Amino acid sequence: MNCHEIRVLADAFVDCELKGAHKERVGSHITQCPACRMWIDMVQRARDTVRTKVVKRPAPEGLEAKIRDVVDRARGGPERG
Amino acid sequence: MHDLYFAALGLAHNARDAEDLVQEAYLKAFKNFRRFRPGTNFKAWIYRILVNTSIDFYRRRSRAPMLSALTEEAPAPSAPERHRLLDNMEALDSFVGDDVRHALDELPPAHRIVVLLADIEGFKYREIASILRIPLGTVMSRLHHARRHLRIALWDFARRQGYAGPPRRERKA
Repeated sequence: MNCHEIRVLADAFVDCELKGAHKERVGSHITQCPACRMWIDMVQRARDTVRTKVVKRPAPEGLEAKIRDVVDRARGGPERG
Repeated sequence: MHDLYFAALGLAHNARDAEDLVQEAYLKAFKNFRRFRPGTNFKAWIYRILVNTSIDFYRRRSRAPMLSALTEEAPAPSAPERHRLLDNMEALDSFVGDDVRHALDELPPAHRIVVLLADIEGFKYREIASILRIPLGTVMSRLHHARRHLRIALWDFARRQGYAGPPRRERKA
């Protein structure tokens, strides 16, 4: 595997989604290639920034009541599909 | 409900549409609840309904961008990813949540949804494949392109916000 192929697989590698030979090849490549090791580190840090820093916007007040209302109306009406 | 609304915002990019999508998704889930197989992943099931609802929603409104954007591959970022973040990784520490959200908003919908499902909602690749009805390999490549796109957006945002100075070196990827 060359460096380009390693970088294509970097996301799946840091997500622990690579299996078998691919996982082993990436793991063995980065022990010998400092540039790809840095790349993997960058991919992981950027991913973790997204995972840890995004604050979910809450649903607006009243949405839950609206949902309850449409579901109640469906429950009361003739059942379709 | 809050999680689903947040995902709907990523699909709709518009608060009013997001509310409509969530209501419609809940209604569909209620009507089709008998199709849910107990013991399977309920969260993935309802997210799949939300994604399908958004495709139907925009098809009805003839707003093709969302339809094609979610079901087809988004183009990879045209510019090569330079090694700017590699030299300025400390810039990532300066980001606050809204900054990341702005960078996410700059992605095309097909890229935004896959990052949202993987990194905000924590779905595994096989679950994302099931929600978006795309092969596992496509999830892998789409997430690779999406995160690459996002790193470019994060970097551009960091520069605009002054989180990062000029790169020490910029070389062609």
